[in-house]
Parts: sequence; structure tokens; C-alpha cells
Amino acid sequence: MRFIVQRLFSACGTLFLVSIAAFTLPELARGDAAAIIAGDDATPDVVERVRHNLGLDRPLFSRFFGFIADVGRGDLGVSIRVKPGATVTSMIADALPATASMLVVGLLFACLMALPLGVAAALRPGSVIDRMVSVFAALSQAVPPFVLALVLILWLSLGRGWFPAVGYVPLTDDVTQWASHIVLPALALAAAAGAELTRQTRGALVDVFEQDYIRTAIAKGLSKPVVIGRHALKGASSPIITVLGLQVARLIGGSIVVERIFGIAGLGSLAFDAVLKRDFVLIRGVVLVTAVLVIVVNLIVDVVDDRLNPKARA
Amino acid sequence: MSIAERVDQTPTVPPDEMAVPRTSRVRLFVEQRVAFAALVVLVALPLACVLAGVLPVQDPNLQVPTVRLGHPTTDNWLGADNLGRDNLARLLYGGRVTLLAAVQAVGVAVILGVPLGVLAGLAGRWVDAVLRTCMDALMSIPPLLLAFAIVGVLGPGLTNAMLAVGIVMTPRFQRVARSGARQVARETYIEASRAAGCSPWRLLWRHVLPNASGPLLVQISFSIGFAVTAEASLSFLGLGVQAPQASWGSMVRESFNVIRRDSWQIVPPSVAIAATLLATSLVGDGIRDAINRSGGGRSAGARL
Repeated sequence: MRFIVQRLFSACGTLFLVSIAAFTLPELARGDAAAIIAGDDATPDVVERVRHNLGLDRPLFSRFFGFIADVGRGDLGVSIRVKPGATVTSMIADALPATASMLVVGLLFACLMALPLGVAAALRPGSVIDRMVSVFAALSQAVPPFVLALVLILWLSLGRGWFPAVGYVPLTDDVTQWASHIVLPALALAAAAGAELTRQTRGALVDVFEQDYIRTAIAKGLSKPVVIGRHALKGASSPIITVLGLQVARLIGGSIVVERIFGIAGLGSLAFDAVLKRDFVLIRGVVLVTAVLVIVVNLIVDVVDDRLNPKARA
Repeated sequence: MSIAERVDQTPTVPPDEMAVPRTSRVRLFVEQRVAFAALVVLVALPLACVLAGVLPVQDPNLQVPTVRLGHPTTDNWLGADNLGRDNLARLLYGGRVTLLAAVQAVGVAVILGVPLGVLAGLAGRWVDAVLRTCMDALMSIPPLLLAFAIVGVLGPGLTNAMLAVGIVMTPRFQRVARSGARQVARETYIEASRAAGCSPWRLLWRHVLPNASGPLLVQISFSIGFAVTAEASLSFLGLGVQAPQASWGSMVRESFNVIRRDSWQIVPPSVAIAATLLATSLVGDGIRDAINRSGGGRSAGARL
């Protein structure tokens, strides 16, 4: 319990720093933010109005605390360029399901790839299977998501016609359509993460297999699947779920390119539009929301890890 | 455990590692044939790009209408793009842009990260805790998204993009330098050198940095791979290199635009990117294994 409180405390510290970073982001812009936001053909009068609406004429600290208070109420401001007038909160809420689908399905793929391959490789370190798994993992890690996305489109979509090449159908509209649209993006996004996870699973299991309690379990006459499933994987779970948690940040970053290629209107596309049109308020909102997501996932990972391996508690 | 701690999978070098002569570590690295082959690729590829001007390749911007979307021939070894420009030439000249950008980004990360790491390692608990929280915050924003956001604020262009990627990679180097510095700080010979009037700069240069050099090299190798991916992603989206300049990322972009007409175009830049990434990760693994073995720690086992 004390551990969880401690982690919660440090997560709040991180969150505070992230909000400072998010708040400062527009301030880094070269030139006058209000002028950039108002556009090239804006009259000085319009620029002043934009400045006032954004509160840019108020002192820095008062603006920062205003920002924190707004964020606390779930108000991330109003989009200026991408969809003028729409609240950033509602835009992110609209975009989140598509990205979340990709993330969840992608992580599922990664686990489905990593666990069998990792176990197979770890059972006989140095064997042919182990080497093949290593080569496969190294190759998967070497292909960036956007290249893999193009290869998958060429092969399975344009070539075979098994999956649609573009678009996204919400889960609530049609489950089969959702599934067929999500497979390729999720695969493209998660292959490298799956490879990383495979390597970690293998490494962790090789270490665990050398432990005495595994030898005892085998000596007791327990079958291999039971030893692996009940004992070894539990012992190896700490690095595995830690790496799994770290992949979330990586996948969110990769989703920008993958969503652009597959024409999915998710968080990544939103971030892209915001960057292209220099919609600072929207960029700030997306950065903040994803950072919170990552912090929360890591918090959950720590708590789960703590439950599974109380011994490792620092 | 902080996020930063978990990301750092670089082995901490045991103090007695200092006793191992440098040459034996080099030999341990060379003995791993796969890693050594990867290093050869990692040297040959940039070299070919740098020497593109003197190599017998065509002008990367020369448009020959008759070979548009051409496949490999004796004239165009890697075919030609949709404007009839030679793919091999574009790959080599584009590689200059991509690889130089990657080196810039890693340079920024080293310049920012190493001093902050040494500071955290030597300056005491409070500074360390503050820096760690900062690095944690930086790492809780998805790296590519943060790079995009910084580019969004600073404006598109390769230099801005690589500055952004460098900032994003800073925590990696901060971690490595910190653990190197902490290890040395506990040694008695440091106290002795200090007592003997050795200046802090000399301490840093003679003891702290050499101690962290192995893990730093590992991190540099991995980071070049990440920076190449980041440059390619940004240029793919049009936020990095600006036309008519080419990079591997913008070449993938152009191949994507004609994907329904010709699928060969995607091969040259993709293979170049993948080969570079594979080489950096194999070299990184190789250095790591060489350090682990020479340090007398448990063998990490042959990866390949």
C-alpha cells in the first residue's frame, strides 16, 4: 500500500512537470504566438483580439494557473486552426476510440507473438529455434512501422484483397468491419513492439529457468506446461509487463504515421493536423492527454508488478 | 521504480572492469562475427553516401522520361522513380541527408544528456531527484509525438526536426552518464585524486567518462537507429526534409504516392532504412556483450 501511495505521489510530480512542458510549448514558438494563430492576413486589430481571447495579454503565472485550473475541469481549450471553435476535449474524445482500438489490438498481437516465440526460444538457449527467433525479432525491429504498413497494404490489401487498405469503422457500428479495418494498422504498429517483447520474454525466462525453484518444480514431477505457465512465467513477469507498459508510449508515437497511411482519424492524425496547421492549443491538448495515458499505464504496470512480485519491492 | 530506470537496460559496468585492457574488449567485439559484419555495414553505408560525388553514379536530379518507374537495369541498378531519376543516386544522396540528420540528433542528445547525467551522478541527492523527475516527464510523452510537437512549434525543416529528436533522446544519455558517474564517485581513488588536487574537469575527463564510455557507445548505436526512424517518419509526413532535397524518408513517401502503379519503388529506401536499423541494433548488442564478458559479469549469451 505504501508503495502504491509513493508511486502515486511521484506520478503526480511527473504530471505537474508535463503540464508545465505542455503549457510552455506554444511559448517556444518563434515570433508572436497570437500573430501566428491569427494567420498571415490578419489585421493588427484581429491579432489583438486573438491575444486577448487566448489570455496572452495576462502575466505568465496567472495564465499558467488558469491553464491548470482549466485542465483540472477537463477543459483543454478551443481549437484555433484545425476545427476552429470546437473544444479540444471533444476532438480528442472523438479521435480516441480509433487509436485505442489500434493500441489494444496491436498490444494483443505483440503478446500473441512474444509469448510463444519467447518460451520456445528460452526452452533451449542456443538451439536452432532460439537462433531463428532471434533473427526474426531482430528483423522485425529493423522495419519501421510506416514501411511495414506499406508492405502490408501492397501484399494483403492491394495484392490479395483480404483487408481494406484505408479507413476505420467504429466498433459500435459493425464489429466485423471494425476488425477487418483494424488488423493491418495494428500489425504495422505493433510488430516492432512484439519483437522487443519477444526478446525480453526470452531473456527473462532464460534467467528464471536457471533458478532453483524451477528445478524443484520439475523434480517434483510437474509437467512442462505447468512449470512454464504457473511458475516460470510468473517469475519472469516483471520485466515482461514492464516492457509491455513501455511499448504504449512507443505505439502512440508510431500511430501518427500509421494513421496517416491508413487514413484513420485517430489521435495521431489529430496530432499531425495540429502540427501542420500550427494549432498550438490542439498540440498541447494531445501531448497532455497522451502523457497522462502513458503515466497512468506505467502506474498500473507498477501496481500489477508489485502484486505479482512482492519480493522485488524496493 | 521510475520510468527512466526501467528504460535503462544498459548494463552497469562493474568497477573491476577498469582493469580489463581496452584491446581485449575490442577483440571480444570483433570475435562476434555478426556484430562485426554489422559494424562494417554501418561504416560502409555512410561512406558510400559521402563518396557519392566521386562514385560513378548519375546526377540524382537528372530526369530521364524514358525510364520513369523503371525497374533495375544495367543503367539504373535500382531502377528509376516516377520522374525518371536514378534510384541508386537518390538513395546515396538521400542517405547523406538522413545519416547526417541522425548524427546531428544524437549529437544534441549527447551534448545535453551527458553533462546532466554527470551532474546528477555527482551533485547529490536533491539535484539527482529533480533531474530524474524532469527526465521522467520527458519520457512520459511518446517520443515521436514530442518530436512532432516540437517541430510543430519551431516550424518544419530538418534542423528543427533533428533538434527535436535530440531533445527526445536526451534522457537515455542522462541515465547512462549518471550511472557511470555514480560508480566512479564511490571509488577511493577518486577521493585520492581529489585530495591530490586533481581538478573536477580532469576527474571528469580521466575517470568518469572513460568509465561510462562502453554503455555510452551502446546507447549511441541504438540512438542512431532511433534517429534514422524519426527522420524517416518526419520526412515521410513532409515535416522533415523539404523538396527538392531527398532523404530516405521522403523517398518512401514518393513510393507511397505511386504505390498503386508500381510497387518496386518502395524497396530501395525501405531496405536502406531497415539495413541501417538492423546494423545499429546488432552493433549495440555486440558492444554490450563485449562489455559484459570482459567485465566478468554473467554472459548475456550469443544473441545470434
